[in-house]
Amino acid sequence: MGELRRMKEAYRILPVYAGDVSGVASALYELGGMVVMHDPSGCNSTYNTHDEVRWYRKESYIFISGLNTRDAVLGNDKKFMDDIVAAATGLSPAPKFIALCNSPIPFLNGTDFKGIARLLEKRLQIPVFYVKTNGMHDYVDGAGRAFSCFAQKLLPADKRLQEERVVPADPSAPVKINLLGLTPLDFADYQNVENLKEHLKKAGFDVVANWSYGTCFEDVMQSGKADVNLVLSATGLPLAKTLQNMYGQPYVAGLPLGSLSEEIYRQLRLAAAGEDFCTFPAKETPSVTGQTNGKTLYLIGEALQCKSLGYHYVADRGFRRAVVLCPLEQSEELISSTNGDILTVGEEQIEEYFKDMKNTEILCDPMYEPVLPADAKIWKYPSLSFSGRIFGGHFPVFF
Amino acid sequence: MLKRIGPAIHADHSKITSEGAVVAIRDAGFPKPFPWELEYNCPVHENWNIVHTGRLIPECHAIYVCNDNCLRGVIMTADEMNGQSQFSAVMPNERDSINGRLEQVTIDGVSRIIDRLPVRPRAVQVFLVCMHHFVGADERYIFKTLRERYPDIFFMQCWMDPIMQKVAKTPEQKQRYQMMLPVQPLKEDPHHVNVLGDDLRLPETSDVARLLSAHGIQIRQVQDCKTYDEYVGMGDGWLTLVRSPLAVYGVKRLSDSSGRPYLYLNVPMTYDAIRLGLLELMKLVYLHEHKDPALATAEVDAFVEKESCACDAAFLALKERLGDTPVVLDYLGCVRPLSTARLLLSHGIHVTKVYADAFDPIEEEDALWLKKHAPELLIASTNHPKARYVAPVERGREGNVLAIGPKAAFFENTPYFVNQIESNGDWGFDGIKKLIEHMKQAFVEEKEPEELVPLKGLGWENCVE
Repeated sequence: MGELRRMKEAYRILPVYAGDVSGVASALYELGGMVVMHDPSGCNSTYNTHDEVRWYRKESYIFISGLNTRDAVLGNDKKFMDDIVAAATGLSPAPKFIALCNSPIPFLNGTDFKGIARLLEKRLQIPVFYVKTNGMHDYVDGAGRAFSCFAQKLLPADKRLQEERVVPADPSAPVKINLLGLTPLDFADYQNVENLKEHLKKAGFDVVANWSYGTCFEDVMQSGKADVNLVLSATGLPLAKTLQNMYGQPYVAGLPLGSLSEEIYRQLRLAAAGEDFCTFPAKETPSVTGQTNGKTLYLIGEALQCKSLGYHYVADRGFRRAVVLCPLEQSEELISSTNGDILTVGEEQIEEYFKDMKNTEILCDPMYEPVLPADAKIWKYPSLSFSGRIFGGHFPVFF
Repeated sequence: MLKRIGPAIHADHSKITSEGAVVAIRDAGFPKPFPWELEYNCPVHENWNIVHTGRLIPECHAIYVCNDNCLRGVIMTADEMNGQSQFSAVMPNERDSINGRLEQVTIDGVSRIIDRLPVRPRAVQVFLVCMHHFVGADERYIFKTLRERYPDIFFMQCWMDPIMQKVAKTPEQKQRYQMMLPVQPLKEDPHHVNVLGDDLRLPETSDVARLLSAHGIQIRQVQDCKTYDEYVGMGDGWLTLVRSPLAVYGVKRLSDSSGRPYLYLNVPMTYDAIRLGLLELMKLVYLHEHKDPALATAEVDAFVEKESCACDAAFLALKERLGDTPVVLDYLGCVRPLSTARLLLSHGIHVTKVYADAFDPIEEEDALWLKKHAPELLIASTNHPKARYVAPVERGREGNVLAIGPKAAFFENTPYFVNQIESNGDWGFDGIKKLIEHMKQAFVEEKEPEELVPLKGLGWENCVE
């Protein structure tokens, strides 16, 4: 038989990124609620083993339902609800909210999660919401939805906060910002959080809320008080839009790295002052006036991280150009097709993209190596969302 | 009216304490001391899963057909054990799952992977998942097509369908059966017995191996096979032994089709139970040697007498070292946790707690013994939502506790623990003596549970840096 066509579904050797359910759990981990994955087995184990660095030492109510075939076929949602009620009423301190996530089987049998959430909320008298997942998407999709759902359900829709903010601020006062999209899946080493906060403080910013690594429920509930939001990964983008709708807060997206930092700080200040600003300063490659090494750096990974690193490597480290290959969902608006950036699906597309290139330089997770040209120089940036804990001792500290 | 045909469940869950999902054995239901509710998953992953077990067969490739979330766990398992070159995946998307293309995507994806492998595998384990059940995917069509396309490859029809595990055969049971299928009957070798379906190798020092060796019989195991052909060559064994309850289903089916006997040696821990197991084995040997099976009794009893004396002496030394130190154990470290607790308690060792969520019905007699002789013994759940409360890192350490098994070590937050799974593959009096030695050593040698117990698949290479 002849060789089959290229298949985006076939993964000969590469791993897949953390799934949507892991994204939900990671996003909500520190926010004082209970996350229930409606799944037979494995989702929680996969999440806490490979997609989470806090599980051994930090308490969080994350459970699976242990769905079995009988209950799935017969539509026995009552057991699911009763079990949640039993856990929520038995745990102390009681969860501040409950988030429900879906997996392939409840997705296929059409379980009515919104209805279940409403019934649970009535029984428990605590906020319950459904994060639309099904185990068939990646963590960017799951975490993004989780942040946004949390904000819509729990943040006070207090217009006064918005009114206070539009009053011209004292120019010498720190600009109040929220950090969005900050989870271990993209920033596994906690030093990133500490350093970022320190840099921001030095640059005249006051962090109101951190969504959500090294944070708590009370902090994120203050989010409406910020002047502007800084989006640090694609997982924070839906939340930025939600907060813009709720409070009129503008947002700037990008990692403050090297000379990109000053640009991001400048845009944050402009946005906070109500002036024209650029939402995404790293979207296009910066024009470089000095000498370059004439090379193109290819970056594979989360869109915002790669775009920011690409900017940094061009502006500060001598590359002529940076091109991003993003294998993750919900990232289209973060990349630039005019710059040559592309969204990829499956390992074969990446393998083919590079197959005729010689002596190329690629910044990516080390697990990509088997599908990259043997003579490529690899800039290793392991990510919890891809290689899990395998390179746990070498997670990058960006800031 | 429907009649229950499964094991009896005497479950009164009203005595479970709210503090830590713990119940005294006198009040515990059997075999299910805790209700099935929401499940917590503790950060202890030393157990083998279907990826580890599947890798035992040489020259065999594994292909999983499932969605992101499910796939991630098995892929990372393979990658952490440096097994990515023997592991691939097909990831159908939503449209594939609901528009009737699942069979075709499965077939084409598996084919595409096989075509692109640098080395042609002799066998391929293809894992279908819960989704295949629910959309009614035609498993027979999938494998028939694959076999037609690749007649040189032996396909094993495996499942990763945990949705079935509480009400039907578990993925492990089905996989182990499929893994046995390449071992088809060959010309019988009277000097050759197989151990099949177990994760861990049965050591030469085991009671079973020594007694068989005295009769000129060698044991062959997949763990010793370097090539696929060697594995297939195990088909000349005249008897199959199995220790894991997960493999009994497969071994029995294999025995039914081959007509050759099998024996389930269920890792007993008490002297009498070990004697009975050995007696059953040696009667088969005598019969096979055309001797009177009754003669086996004398040989086994002499062996048991000598071994039990040695164990008694070792227990005295252990008791002297431990004094009244509390000992806790878990179901991961001990194949038979209740039988192990019974053995230790009956030799004066101060066992206080057993971490387990359910028991093998084969332990019922041990449960009854413990209810009578150690009614205060605590049974602690490892996956009840409240089990998280006993997670110790926040709670600190409370005196010296000796743990057997990684989950017990985690929950007790003790640096003194026997780091073993599945009774370390040991069996019988030999297993008891080794356990005693490991306990003595663990009591004086500190280990850091956080560094060890989250790692997957104890015994395999591990790449986590």
